[in-house]
Amino acid sequence: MSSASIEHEDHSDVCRSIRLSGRLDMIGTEAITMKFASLSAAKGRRVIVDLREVTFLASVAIREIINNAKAVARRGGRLVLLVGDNDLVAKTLETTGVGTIVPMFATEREALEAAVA
Amino acid sequence: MLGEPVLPAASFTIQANAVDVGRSSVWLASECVERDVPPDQILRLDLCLNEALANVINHGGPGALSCPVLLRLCVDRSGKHNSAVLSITDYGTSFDLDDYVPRPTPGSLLDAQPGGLGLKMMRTFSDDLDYCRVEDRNELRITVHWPHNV
Repeated sequence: MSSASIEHEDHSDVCRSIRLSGRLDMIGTEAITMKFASLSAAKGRRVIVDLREVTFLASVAIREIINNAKAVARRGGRLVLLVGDNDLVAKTLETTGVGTIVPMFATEREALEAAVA
Repeated sequence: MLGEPVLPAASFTIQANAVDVGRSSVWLASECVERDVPPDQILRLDLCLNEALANVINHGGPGALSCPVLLRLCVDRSGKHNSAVLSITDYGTSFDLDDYVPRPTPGSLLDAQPGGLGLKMMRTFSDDLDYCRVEDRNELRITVHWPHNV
């Protein structure tokens, strides 16, 4: 059984936060993949992926983040990451180079501003 | 404390599939706690274990999927620092860490190609990463160190 979960909150018609939490290992990522893609999909959608409550971030989850960020960008939208003070997640994203291609922010306000800019 | 003997090694056998990757993490955490490995070191080992087993499943071929994967944990407090060594032995296709050339960081999101992230993460989160081929098996050794006073 997976300990990962996914929830969302709409800030406006085009801007949405998707909150991932728990353990995003192989099983956890598989559990959220379909819903993650579905929640990100809409023309011109601005998406904040909130990773502050993620306790484990495997490469399979990073691939899903990249795939969704690309899909959002192709549809004219923008996907940004909110990491807060989650050092493990920030280090993993920086190590893998994701932080340089998908904007990453420490605060909700910064992430929201960047998403809708 | 410096000078304590090597604690008994722990071993665990799994199959190369996602469910057993989850079981292996539970086993690793339990054995590490029993050996007083600090939580941040357990997390580093766990991340490396997850990536190593993902590579076995995705790239090891039929041999890796049909044969058991052996995990072995050894914690040593006798050296200048504490260390935990996690060995992963599988019957998959041979590989060589030195042959792996990291992909350059993509210039833009749309240029980004998935793949190659796991080994990059293992190199980041381990202190040593060693590979050898023993007969028809791959053996990957992941080592983390931490000071005696933690």
